[in-house]
This record gives sequence, C-alpha cells and structure tokens, in this order.
Amino acid sequence: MGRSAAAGAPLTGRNPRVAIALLVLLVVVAIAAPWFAPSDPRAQPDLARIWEAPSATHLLGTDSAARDVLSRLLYGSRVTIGIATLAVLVSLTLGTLVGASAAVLRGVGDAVLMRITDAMLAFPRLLLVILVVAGTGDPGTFSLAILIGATGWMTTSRLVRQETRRLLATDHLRAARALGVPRRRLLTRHVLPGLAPTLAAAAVLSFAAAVPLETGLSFLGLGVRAPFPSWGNIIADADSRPLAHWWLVLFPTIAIALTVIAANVVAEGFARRAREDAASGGGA
Amino acid sequence: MSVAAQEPATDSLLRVTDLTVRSARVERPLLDGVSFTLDRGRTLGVVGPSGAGKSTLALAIARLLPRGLSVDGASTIHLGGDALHELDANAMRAIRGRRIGYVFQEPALALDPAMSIGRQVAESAQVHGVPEGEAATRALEWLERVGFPDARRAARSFPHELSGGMRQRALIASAMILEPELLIADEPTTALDPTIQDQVLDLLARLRQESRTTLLFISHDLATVAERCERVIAIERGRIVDDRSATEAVAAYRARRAIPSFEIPTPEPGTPLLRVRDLEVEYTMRGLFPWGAAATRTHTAVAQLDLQIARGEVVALVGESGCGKTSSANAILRLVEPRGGSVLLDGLEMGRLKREPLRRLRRRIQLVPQDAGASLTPHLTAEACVAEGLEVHGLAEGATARRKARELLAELGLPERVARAVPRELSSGERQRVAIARALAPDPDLLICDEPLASIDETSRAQVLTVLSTRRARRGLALLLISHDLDAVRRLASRVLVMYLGRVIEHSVGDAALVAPRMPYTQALVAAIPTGDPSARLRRSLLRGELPILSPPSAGCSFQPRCTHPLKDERCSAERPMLLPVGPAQPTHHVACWHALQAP
Repeated sequence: MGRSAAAGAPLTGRNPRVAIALLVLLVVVAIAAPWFAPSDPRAQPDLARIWEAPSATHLLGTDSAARDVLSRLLYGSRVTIGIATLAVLVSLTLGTLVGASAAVLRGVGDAVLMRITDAMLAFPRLLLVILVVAGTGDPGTFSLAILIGATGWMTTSRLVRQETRRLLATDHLRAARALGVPRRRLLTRHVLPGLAPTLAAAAVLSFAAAVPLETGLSFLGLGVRAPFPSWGNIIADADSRPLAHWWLVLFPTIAIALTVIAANVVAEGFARRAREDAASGGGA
Repeated sequence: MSVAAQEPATDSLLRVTDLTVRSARVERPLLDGVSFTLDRGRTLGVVGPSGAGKSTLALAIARLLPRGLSVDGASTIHLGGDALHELDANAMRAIRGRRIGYVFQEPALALDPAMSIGRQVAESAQVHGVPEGEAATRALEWLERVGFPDARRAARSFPHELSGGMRQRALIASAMILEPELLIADEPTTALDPTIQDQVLDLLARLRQESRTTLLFISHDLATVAERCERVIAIERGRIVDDRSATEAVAAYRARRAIPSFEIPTPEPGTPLLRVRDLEVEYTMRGLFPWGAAATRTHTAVAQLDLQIARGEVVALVGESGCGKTSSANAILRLVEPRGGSVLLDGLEMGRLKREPLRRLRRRIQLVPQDAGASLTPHLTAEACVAEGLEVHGLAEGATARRKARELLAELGLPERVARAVPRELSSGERQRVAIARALAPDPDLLICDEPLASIDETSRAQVLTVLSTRRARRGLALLLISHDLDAVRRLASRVLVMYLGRVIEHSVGDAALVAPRMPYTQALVAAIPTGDPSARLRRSLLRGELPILSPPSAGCSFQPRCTHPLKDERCSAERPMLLPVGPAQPTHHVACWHALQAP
C-alpha cells in the first residue's frame, strides 16, 4: 500500500507533477523573459531612483543602479538556468563516460577511474571553482558553465557505474550476448536506454547543485558580473544592507529556493522510478 | 442482486455468481459472468491456459485485484453466510488470512527477503490479533507441520537461505496458521521441480484433511489438478467452459493431449555437429571477509560432461533444478567460461575463438533461456527483439528484418498485437514464444532450449513443437532440450542424459533411460511425472529430501545419501560408479550405479 500510495502522491511520488510543472514554468519564463519583462534589465531610466522599494512603477523595486528588479529577475532566470543547463550537459556527458567506462572495463580501469572520481569528490567543489576563476580573471558565461559542469560529474559517474553494472548482469543482456549482439550495439541498444531513469535523476540532481553554485559565485562577484543580471548578483546589489534593501534579497532567494527544491523533488521521483525498475528486474 | 443470494445453501462455503472483472485498458472483460459454488471441505481445481483469468478469479475472491481492475456491480461472492462483495476494505482485511488463506505462485516474491521466516509466519497470526508470544509458538508448530526438520532453525533463517520448495512450505505455513476455512492456492508448485512439486502437493493434501480446509486449487496443468481435486472447472478467455468431476476431466484431457507426433530422428554417422568433451564448470563463492576458512569456496556445477549432437538430432538433458543443466548450457555457449574441457562445433574448438569470430559463430548455436521473460530487453518490442538476431548477423536489415520477425512470431501462433508489444505487456507464455522466435531468427544449426515449454499451455505447446519439428526436418536443426518435463522429453528426444549434481548418471540412445530407468534417481524422477490419475500417485516411489547442492563432494556415488535402493552398500559411499552399459543386450543404455548393472 505504502508504495502505491506514494506513487500517486503529486509531490513525493514517482511522478511529482507539481515540481515538474514548476520547473517547466521556470524554463518557459526564462525563454519568454523578453516578452514578460517590463524593461531592459540593464536600462537605467532614472538614476535618481536607486534602491526604491516595490511600487506600482517597479513591481519588485529597483537596485543600486536604478534598474528594474523584476526585469533583472526575469532575465536573470535566463542566465542562471542557461548556465545550470549547460553545466548539466557537461557533467552528464563526463559522468556517463566515466561511469559507464568503469563498469564496462572492470578491474584496473574501473579502479583508476573510480579513484579519480573519489579524489575529485574529496576536493571542495566551491574552492576548486573559485581557484580557477581567481586564476583566470573574468571567466565569461560560457566558460563558467563548463567549469561548473566539469567539477560536478562525480555523483553522476557513480550512479551510472552502479546502474550499468546491474544492467550488465541482467538476464536480458546475457541473452543478447548469446544472440551474438556486438559490444557497441549491446551498450547503445540494451544498456543505455535502461540507464534513462538514472540519467534523468542524475541530470536533475546536478541541476539542483549547479543553480546555487552559480548564484553563489555571482553573489561573490566571481560569476556573472553586472550589468548582466543573475539571481546571485541581484542579491549582491543589496550592498550588505539586506534588511533595508529586503526586496533585493527576498525575491531572488525565493526563486533560487523554489528551483532547487523542485529539482530535488523531481530527482527523487526519477530515482524512485529507477529503483522500482531495478526491483522489478527490468531496465526501462 | 437477488434476495435469494443472501441465504446460501447450508453446505456451500464459497458461492460466486456472475463474477465479471474488467480492466480499464482492455475492452474484453478478464472474467465474464463466472458462477460456481464450492462446498465446505471439498477441493475444486481451476484450470485453463495462461491469461485465461484463473489468477484474476482468485484475486477477485480475496479482493486483492490490482489497481485498474474492477468488479462489476452485479457480481456476488459469498463466503459462508457473508457477502464479501459488500464488505469494506477493513472488514475484508479481517477475513483475509483468518478465513481465506492464500498461497501464491512465486514464493520468492511472496516472502519478504529482509524478515526471518519465523517472524513472517507469526505475523500472519499477529495481524489478526494473536499476541506476539503465542503467534511465535504457533509459527514454530506450523513450520514443523509443513515439514521443516528443525523448526527453530527454520524460523531464524531468511528466505534466500531456503530452496524453492522450502519457501513454498513456509508460505503454506503462513497461509494455514489460522486454519482458514478456504485456502486458495494459485499455481503453488509451478515454479518447482516435479519431485518437489509432488512433496508440496502431498503436504497441502495432508494439511487440508487435518484442518478440514476447503481448497481452491489453480493450475495450468490439468494432470496435477485432476490428481488432487474432486471437481475441475476449466476457464478460457474469462468464461467457464467446462465443469465436471476430476475423473471425467482427465478422460477428456487424455483424449486431447496428443502432442503432435515428432518423428524421432536417428543420429547420422560422421562428424557430430556439437561435440563436448570433459566439460567442467566451477563457481567460486567469496565470503564476506577475505580470510578464514570461508574466504573462498568452490562449487563444481558440472563435472566431466561428454555430449554429442548430430545434425537434426534432439538430445535431452534432464534432472532436478540445481543439477547443472543450465550451467552446462551456459558453458557450451561460452556465456560462462568453463574450467576445463572442450566444445567443438563442426570440429571447430569454440574455446580458442577470439571475440569477433565467437560472436559470428553464435549465429549457429542459439539459446532459449530458462527465464524467457527476464531474457527479453524490457524496452524493446517483440518485433525489434526478434529482428535483432537477423540484423547483427547481417541476414536482413530494417523493414525486411522486422517483416521476417513478424512472420516468425505468427508462425509460432502469436497474435499480431504481440509484435508491437514490450515484454511487460505480454503473458509469460507469449514471452516464452518471443524468446523462441528470437533464437530461431538467425536460422541456427543448434538450438539449446532451457525449459522451453515450462509456461506454455497445451495448445501453444503443440504449435511450438510443430515449428521446431519443421525446422528440424527441413533444415537439420539440432536441439539440446533441457527440461524437467520428462513426458515431453520422452516423446521428442533421440538421446537422453540424466544429470545429478553436475554429473551424467544415466544415458541412453532413445528413451530407454526414461522408459526403463535403471538408476534409482531416474526412477524417482519418472515416478514424479503427474499423470492425472489419483491411483497412480499412490504407487510413486517418492524422492525424499532435496538436492544437497552445497554439501562437500563425496568420494562415492553422488546420489547415495538420498538413495533408497535395497542393495545400497559401502561401495556406494566409497567409490564413484562410472557410466557403463547396463548389459550386453543394451549397449546404448549407460548408467552410473554399482547395483543397476547386475541382472535383475
């Protein structure tokens, strides 16, 4: 009963509809920001009106350079989500390559790849990113995304290794081998589709990790820099007076929190699905 | 609902009227107006092909139907004087376990792997208000009654430590602990060996008499049902098509069970298609800690297997599960690396082949695995699965391959919808036939079939055998048939090998080893075949105990500890008998038993 009840729960089950809807909405907002936003996020229509609290003219107030916070928040979602998505693509590719190779190679190859993964995990990610950014100066949006992805593939590689090993030992893989299916086709046609739920979970999970990392860096002034908006550097504009300039802190924080929580819930749903598939002996 | 339904006849325990069950996804009802009564203390068998609705019927009575299936409003189910169809979920929970016991088909799935057997059996009493201490005592008592030699030890063990037969006994104990009025047994022995199946069914019969329980026994195997029940109803496509006494049902069954004559081939002289010499398979088990005596143990699954198969020949490998049949098949196919010996296909040593030549060779020697359902890749349609064999061996591509796959599926009697279905949408019999189609697609010379007919009903079985027979006659397909269905083996095989604990202990050209078995073990195996005749059952020399798979190998005859031969002596435990011809008159019937050789 417990399991079937959980499967139908909109928030915590294998199909967390509310969280998925939230993430979809976020992506739609990011894409459609130019149509929604009341003004250009970099425009400074009236330099006298800095740090204005929310009002009818500026629904979410203005920042240190008199820019419209609502517009910056909407455009900022493009930057934040864009960077996180690109980072996920990088980490998913790296993680799948490393994890699947480790599972297929076994023995020494497996040991080497997984110890590299362990070493990467042992190094604090934030510190690593800060060191690289500090060493190279202004990284630019694209390089920042690559950097976040390149430091975040380890969880994925562990998950993928585990799941690939399980799939490689299933009856249907043995049967495909007995049929004479060549190795490459075995992987692309029989193993990889079975990995889909695991990869989906890993993707959303690394998305949930990439968002706070990027916004954190931007907040510190190491990520996306003004006048380009990011949820992180909007908060930074509160100019160390978060209570006085509460709107600059509150709205981006809500956006970040909702995104991260929704992504975690969705990831948990996918992971549940992967577990249930594994328990029923299947793979897709 | 009529008023009369409130007052069932005094002696009827279960009364089902007009039971109709629908699925949200399928238009045709799964059960269509099923009505029957079962009198108190009686046994009723329910038979029918897979997918006929037998399990749906059992689940509907216990109100355990999965989501998506619903019972029509007009259906009524009465147990004693209670209308089960009117009860709410809580009231029903109080009835399940207390008044209706349920034994499922697959004991491995019905037991919780993380809970000790004792606690699981006790729990079935505890949920109905029996205090913990008393439940534990009763559980021990019941574990003893279902035949655990040491009930305390059994109570402490976990499901994975028990064999299939013992798990089923534990499940029966937990179904019977409150001595329910009605026991529903849904294919309780289908997953078990015939020898074990017999023991479990005897147990059920004994308990039923002791506790005066009424039994609803579901099986696809009429022979088994008829031996154990007084009345048999047959279900097909959700409707009752037959309802009569067991004796009449068996007579009808005998008339129908004519496996299409499968001309038994004579082996041709010359180079055999497959020659296996001295094949040995060993498994290494590692303990939890890399030190101490239990660090690594080796288990010899197959020892000194010699085997030859000519083109077009059908060779059968029989024995209880765990005897090394499947390991032999896997080693011949090089799915596991044998420890020693050689496998030659057309004189070509398979062990020396590198990966790519070995892969290409696999076209010629195909496998129908034991668990056909699990052997199908879950996300591939049946059509894609069958077409794959053509594609990877360069025999056909794309649309042509898929068309050929559909033709092959149709040849095996599968309806059109199967081609586009993924495995979880198919019944187990359909999956098995998809696996057979997949193996036949690349047009192999040799087909290794591991229990190919296990979950296929009579009609489809005939279809499968016809296809195999045609292939054999037209293209010289050879078969290595691994099975414990001795009845089918006897009709098909031109050579029979009987295995016990990894060794061939009896071997004959033709079916002599099964018609006139000399080895006590083979005799017991043959005796365990259900015939549908309750009187024949009593004559059986039952095989006691189970396969001692993990005990240390003895120097003597491996069967000796379970042997009931009157002449059993010290030589049996000291010296391993070799395979020798039974006598000068039977040069092609070999047996490994010191006492079978003496003239009777």
